[in-house]
Amino acid sequence: MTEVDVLQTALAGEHAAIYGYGVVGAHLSGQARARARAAYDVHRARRERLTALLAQRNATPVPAAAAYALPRPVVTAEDAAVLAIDLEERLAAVWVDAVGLLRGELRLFAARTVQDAAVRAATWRGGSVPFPGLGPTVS
Amino acid sequence: MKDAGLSRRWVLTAGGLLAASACTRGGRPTPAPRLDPDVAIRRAAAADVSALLALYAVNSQAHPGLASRLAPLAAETTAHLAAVRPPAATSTATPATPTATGSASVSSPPPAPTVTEALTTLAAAERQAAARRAAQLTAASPALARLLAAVGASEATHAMLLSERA
Repeated sequence: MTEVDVLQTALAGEHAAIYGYGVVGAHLSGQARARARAAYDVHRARRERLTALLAQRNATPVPAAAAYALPRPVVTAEDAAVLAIDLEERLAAVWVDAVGLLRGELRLFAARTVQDAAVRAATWRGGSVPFPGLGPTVS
Repeated sequence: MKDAGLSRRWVLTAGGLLAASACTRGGRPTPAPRLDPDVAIRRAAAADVSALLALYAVNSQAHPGLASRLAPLAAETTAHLAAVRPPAATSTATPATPTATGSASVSSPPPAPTVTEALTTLAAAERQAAARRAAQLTAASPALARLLAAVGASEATHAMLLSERA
């Protein structure tokens, strides 16, 4: 995978998360809605950064899809929180992959993003996991 | 439908990485362990994580009311130590008990005087640990960098959970 491929994969993940948080926020109120809004803004800012990084490399950033299939229907506030956990966990996995594939400043950016995704997932979940982005156990 | 495509891409990415790390491991003709820069990075990370564990131990003991809150975080930190520690063949002959490893060089820290200070101290230590993990992974092999990124993310999560009001 080239650096551009890695950035494109991360951008595709952020597009999906932005769409997902639109759904999440629509099913929440009060503090939880504000938390979804803050996450939405962070993912949009990251999308802009990735778009700029790709433009610097003369690559056309992958566009967002018009819609994304959700892992399961979102009806209640609890469904919305479960979707938010899922979005952040998927992103943590994408960005951990990016850490392994990137070098230098971009690797550091990817590592900080894994931390951000893990913290957001834990906030929705109310607890931590030992290896965010890698799965439940590491040999 | 688009989501299925995206998921597939993620799966493909993970598969590609497995292949990549397999190549790295297979292609390296069993070098002398001390030539592998990962070993030094693993040692440094293991020393950090051992110090964190010691901090959890003294504060759990001094503040039994915190024990149930700290136990899951300490358990994850024990898992971090097992994962980052250099392979047995390259480390000195130390007992395999996670808490014992590295404790020879880590003097036991004093517990914080109050529950609030214990939480503040641990949160600060986890935050610093997460920052060190990010610094350490920049020079690591791809496989170790992934591991340190995950450990650092868990440490950042611990810092957040310790900063929350009970």
